[in-house]
Amino acid sequence: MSRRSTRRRGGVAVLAIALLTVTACGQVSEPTEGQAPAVLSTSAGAADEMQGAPLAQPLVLAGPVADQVFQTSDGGTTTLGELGQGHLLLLYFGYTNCPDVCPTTLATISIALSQLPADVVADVRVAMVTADPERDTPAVLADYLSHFDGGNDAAFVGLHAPLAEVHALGSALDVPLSAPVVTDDGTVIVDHGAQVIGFVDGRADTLWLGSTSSATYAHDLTLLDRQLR
Amino acid sequence: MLLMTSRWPLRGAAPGLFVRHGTVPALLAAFLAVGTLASCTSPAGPTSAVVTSGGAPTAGDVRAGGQVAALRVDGGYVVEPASPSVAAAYLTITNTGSADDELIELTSPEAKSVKAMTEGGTSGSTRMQDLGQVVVPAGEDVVFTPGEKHLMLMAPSPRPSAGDTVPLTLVFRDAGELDLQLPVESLIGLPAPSPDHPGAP
Repeated sequence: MSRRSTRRRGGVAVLAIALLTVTACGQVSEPTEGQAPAVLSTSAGAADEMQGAPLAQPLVLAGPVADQVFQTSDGGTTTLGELGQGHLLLLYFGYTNCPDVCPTTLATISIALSQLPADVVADVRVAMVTADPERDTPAVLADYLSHFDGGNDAAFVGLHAPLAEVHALGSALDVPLSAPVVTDDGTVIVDHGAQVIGFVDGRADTLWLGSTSSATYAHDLTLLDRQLR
Repeated sequence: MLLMTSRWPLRGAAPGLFVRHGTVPALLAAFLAVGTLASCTSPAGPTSAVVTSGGAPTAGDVRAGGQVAALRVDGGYVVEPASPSVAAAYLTITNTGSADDELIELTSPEAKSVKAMTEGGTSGSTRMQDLGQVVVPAGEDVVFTPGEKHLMLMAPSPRPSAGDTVPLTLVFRDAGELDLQLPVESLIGLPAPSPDHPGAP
């Protein structure tokens, strides 16, 4: 990791406008390379190209980002540096009272992992940093994530730290986060970046946006796993 | 299934800054192709594709529907929640009539409250927002689908489990009430965006 120790900030920011397009429906669609249906279904041709969104500058797990200590959902402590070392680390910020986007994202990753060979899956760690640490204790995170592991060998781990530290990490990784708001009826709302950042042995050149399909994750994780070896 | 893309921070972004080993032309080409693919034939497109190509919903392929007056509901289901506090339901409402109607109330005896929500936001983050009462324009669909509009079931009890059903009543201003029994589908059989329509609405 030492040769990659330069800490970069703001690396995610320069996603080209060309990456995003407004469709005729007035909505923005996720662009991914080689997304023609014929390409996705097999490993021919453009299958060697990543489909997630490339970062203009890599994000590197070094310095405070790597060393921040979290309580884990399995009762221990860890750091992103430790989780990322020698692994594919998919990093996501979410919260358990999020009814739609968060479970959709985690389930999509889980489905992707269920489609990959065991040796690839063994290299993957999926970490959710809670953006609502007051309610998402390590035990709550453990129960929540147990619904996603689906019998595959992926290590889903929940990471818990005080809100200020979580926000500092989000800031360092260009993941926007706001403080949780609880409405009168108990709805918990946390504005949060919905991207999943993909670190290969502590360095990320790719992220995936919220609408990413399980096929795209499976495809890209296969490619990233080759980089790891 | 396109969601947070619109909230992605584009701070300082400019096409000229997007340089990554000469992939720009390829990306742009792919991008144009995607734009074509994503043209909005029907909001129900990805949803129906998901029914057949998604994981393996344990509740089977039968989702709930029904009709009251000119308002029809199709494809209704609840996703087995990972949290005990909140669950999400999805369905499509079609107004087959010639006058606008409005979804004014949602209730379930098995939830503390049910609200129509959406994901929106600015500055690169996703923000869940209460839709309140939802207009269903004459001749149009309102689609609740993962990552976009959803029906939020607060404090569902009993906790929905795959294979169960959850009763839900939709109250329309003009058409009246429609009672449904929504099947609960497995979480990790959760509909993912169709590979054929990765960013389609």
